[in-house]
Amino acid sequence: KRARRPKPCSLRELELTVSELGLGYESDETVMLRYCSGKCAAHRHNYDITMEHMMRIGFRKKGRKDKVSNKPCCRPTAFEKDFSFLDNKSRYHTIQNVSAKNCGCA
Amino acid sequence: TADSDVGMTTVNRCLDAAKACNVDDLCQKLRTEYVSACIKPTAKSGLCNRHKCNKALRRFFDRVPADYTHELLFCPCTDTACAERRRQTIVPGCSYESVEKPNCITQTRICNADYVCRSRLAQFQYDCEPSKTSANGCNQGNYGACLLAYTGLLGSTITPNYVDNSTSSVAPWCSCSASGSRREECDRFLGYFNDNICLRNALMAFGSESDQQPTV
Repeated sequence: KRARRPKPCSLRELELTVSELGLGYESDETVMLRYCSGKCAAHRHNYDITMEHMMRIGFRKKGRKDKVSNKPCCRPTAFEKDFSFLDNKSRYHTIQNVSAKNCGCA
Repeated sequence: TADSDVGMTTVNRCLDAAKACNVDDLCQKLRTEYVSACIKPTAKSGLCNRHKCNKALRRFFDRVPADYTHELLFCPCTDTACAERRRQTIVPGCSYESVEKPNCITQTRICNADYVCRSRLAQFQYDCEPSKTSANGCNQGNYGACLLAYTGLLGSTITPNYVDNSTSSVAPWCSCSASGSRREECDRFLGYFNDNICLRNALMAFGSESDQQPTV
């Protein structure tokens, strides 16, 4: 059995109806949802190593209970522009920033 | 819904057309541009900016391949949900309807004063010229050319559209009442849209010809 190599952070695509986006619009129109997913292991900085340590013992020693994310995160660095559709009551809508355009580890 | 109860999915070709457009970058972009332009109320009157809406519509129909635009505009329908979607394609609330129906002759005069509109209208009258002797009802014998010429009028002074959500009858937003001595000329102009065997056949053939196309 071969170990699965984790895929790096990248743009993925999925066809969905507007209703399935969860934004409260009811429309059977299908859209292409682009989103970011994947590993950011290669983008670990000293900051992340330090934060991992701080979370484990560092903060407690200094009397703090802070929570910090200790690994870079795969997120959109840009969004697709506007998107228009006709809802099931024959009204048009234009919505913004639904789909990712580029992804990056931050 | 009733359809899922019997294990059937409603075929809505107009919805399929919207999907095809949405997953294509150029079609989606230019469709969004005209829809946004056509639904945006102006600060002054609160109504839409018809000029901007028409301009964006013309851009859409001029630049997006007919494979997409014709499917959106001429998709065959068997129910009103589909036909209403088809009627809404050009955002008629902004690009088509107005409070009063102007006279068609007046509209033609405005169109003829504009170089693009004049040539588009002439193209439409040429490519959709009906014929009683031609087998398919068109004097030029070419459905594709007739439909293309029809879409060329969208966003102009004589933008045609489906008159309701139950028939596939089309007409520009104008009337021939109060035409006086030019009544006959006016009726002939309007008849080119709502009583034209060539255009009607072209619209009907579009639905049946592309029936075999695979749906994405």
